[in-house]
Amino acid sequence: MLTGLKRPGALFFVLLASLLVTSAAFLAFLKIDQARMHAAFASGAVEAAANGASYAERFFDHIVEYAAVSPRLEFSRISPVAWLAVADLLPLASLICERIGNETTVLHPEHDERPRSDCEKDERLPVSLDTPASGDVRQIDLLVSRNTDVGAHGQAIAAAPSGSHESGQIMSLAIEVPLTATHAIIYELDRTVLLDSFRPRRERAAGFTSDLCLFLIVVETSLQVACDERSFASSDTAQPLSQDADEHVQFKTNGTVWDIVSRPHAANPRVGVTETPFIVMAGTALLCGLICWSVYRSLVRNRRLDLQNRQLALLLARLEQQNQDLDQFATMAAHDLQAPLRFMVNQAHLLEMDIEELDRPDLQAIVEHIIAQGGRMHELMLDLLAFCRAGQDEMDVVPINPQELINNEIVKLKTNKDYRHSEVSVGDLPTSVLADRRKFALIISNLLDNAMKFSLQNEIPRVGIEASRPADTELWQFVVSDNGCGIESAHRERVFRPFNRLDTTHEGTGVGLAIVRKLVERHHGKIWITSAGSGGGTSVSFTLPNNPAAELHP
Amino acid sequence: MTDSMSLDIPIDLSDSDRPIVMVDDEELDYVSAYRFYKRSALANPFVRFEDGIAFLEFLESVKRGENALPVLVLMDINMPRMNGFEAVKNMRKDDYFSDVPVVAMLTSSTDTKDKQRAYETGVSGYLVKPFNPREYATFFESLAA
Repeated sequence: MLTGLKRPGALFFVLLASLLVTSAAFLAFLKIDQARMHAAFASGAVEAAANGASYAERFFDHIVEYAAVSPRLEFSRISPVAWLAVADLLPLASLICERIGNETTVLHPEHDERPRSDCEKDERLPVSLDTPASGDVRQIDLLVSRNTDVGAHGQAIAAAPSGSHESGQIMSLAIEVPLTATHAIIYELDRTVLLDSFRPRRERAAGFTSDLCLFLIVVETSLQVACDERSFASSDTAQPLSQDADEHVQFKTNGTVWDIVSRPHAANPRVGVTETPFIVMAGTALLCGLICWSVYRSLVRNRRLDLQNRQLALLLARLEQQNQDLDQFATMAAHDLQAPLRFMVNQAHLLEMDIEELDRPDLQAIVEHIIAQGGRMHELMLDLLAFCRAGQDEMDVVPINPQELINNEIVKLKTNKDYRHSEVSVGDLPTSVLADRRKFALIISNLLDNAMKFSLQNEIPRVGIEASRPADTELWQFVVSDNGCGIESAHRERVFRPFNRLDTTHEGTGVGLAIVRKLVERHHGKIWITSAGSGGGTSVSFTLPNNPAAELHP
Repeated sequence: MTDSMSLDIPIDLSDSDRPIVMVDDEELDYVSAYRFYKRSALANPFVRFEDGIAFLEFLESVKRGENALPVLVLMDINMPRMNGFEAVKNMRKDDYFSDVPVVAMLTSSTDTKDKQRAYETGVSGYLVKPFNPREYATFFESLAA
């Protein structure tokens, strides 16, 4: 049961931990910039799907800024993803234009409804911008060249100011990309699933929203971006940087800061993403795994302890229930068996009366045996009932006066002619303890009866009862002692078991001390026997809770 | 066996024409009790009914004048059809029988609940069915005294 419950949870945590470790390791093995890009794409896509337009707008702010400060863009390497983005640039371009000119309107966006199957030729998508506020007119020409000779990654084409239009500037963005069947398919897919959340690998890219695709262009092409004297730093675009200085452009997306560094002075101008050392990544992965593992361990341990606790509680409840059932069964059995036994003994008595007249002592002896054993069985049943009921009865714990109750019991026992000559000495006793009145009387009468019975063998039977309370405790310790035969230490535990008699010469079924123990334990007390051994007498001690109120109001 | 029987009020059995009624489904209990009743000094008729219903029918006939009013009812508790408590309760409903003394016949001395319930229904005493039937003799002698 335990392992069965434990396993699914453990499996889950092991899987989770290993997944985290392996994915972390995988990330570490990948180029860091790629890893970060993918991570950002994933999170970006999720965020884009969630936030929609507001996310796109934040990106455009960066892109537009970038476009505004950079009159010349060079794309030397364009991935299929970027191509897809370019193919989608038309609506973006208008949006960009909207951004550049405060209140610009997009003029004549041509070819936007062009059938896609007819895209073999170069395309030029002119977008004119009119900014009435500043009188600025800008035109961005998006040139998409469908040249099949450009190789796997396309070719850079200069994007340069292509002329002027009155006071404005015309900017051309010429992009040459290979067109393959796959791309076309992806493109077609792209048209329909444009706004879906990300998918694995290629489809994921295809599934990006347009704004993310644009972001891709910037990030991917930034590896080869060469820029003029302006810095990309969005915070301070007006500040010219020295020719030798590295240039940064920062994007902040979903908590990830993209720091793209441009080194224009280098022999091979290259913009790279700052790399985190492999060892750090691996260490992080390992740490992550360890944390996962320790969390898993502690969770499992807690779960196991929790489970064990619950199982123990269940077991306890079941045991209590079983005890109760057993007590009820014993009660019922003892009770219901009495009637048939009574008939048997009854009939035996009648038979005995008849046999008396026959003068047959042999038959008489047999019937007497039957009657005696029947009587003994009856006695056992009554004691069994008493024993069971000692555990079943309701507890009614109240402040009681032990002195009074003990004296009552002594008076009752003294009416037994066997005990007439017993000396009973009553020592110090508390005036108040917390106990069930009837059960306390039963405890006392049982213990005193035992003490008197077993001290009879002494010439002068002496029985004593007293109580004391150690200064720092809330328990009264009662001691009932006799000067009888005593009990060997080996048997001192046995006498508390029901129907366990050490001395069969005396009357009784041996259930008295078992009942007493049950009653004492129901008062949360303890009971034990001290004896000097054979002939040294016996002392039975038990504890009961003090009544604190009694001391305040004596 | 000091708690095997108890009689709260003295029972007047002097009118020896009126019967002592025992209501008990157990034949053997009746046989034992009757055996010692016969030996006792009591001369009243000794009648037995098997359960509460039969007893109530008898009471009807008493009311019609067909039978004499019992001087004492010995009532067993556990019986089929109608138990002793119900029978006594029904009998006490009728003022005609309100003064008839009833002694509850308990199966076990440990049946403190039965004892208590019997008194609540209005019995005058109880007798725990003895293991030794000679105790019936003691019981009847105490009645005759």
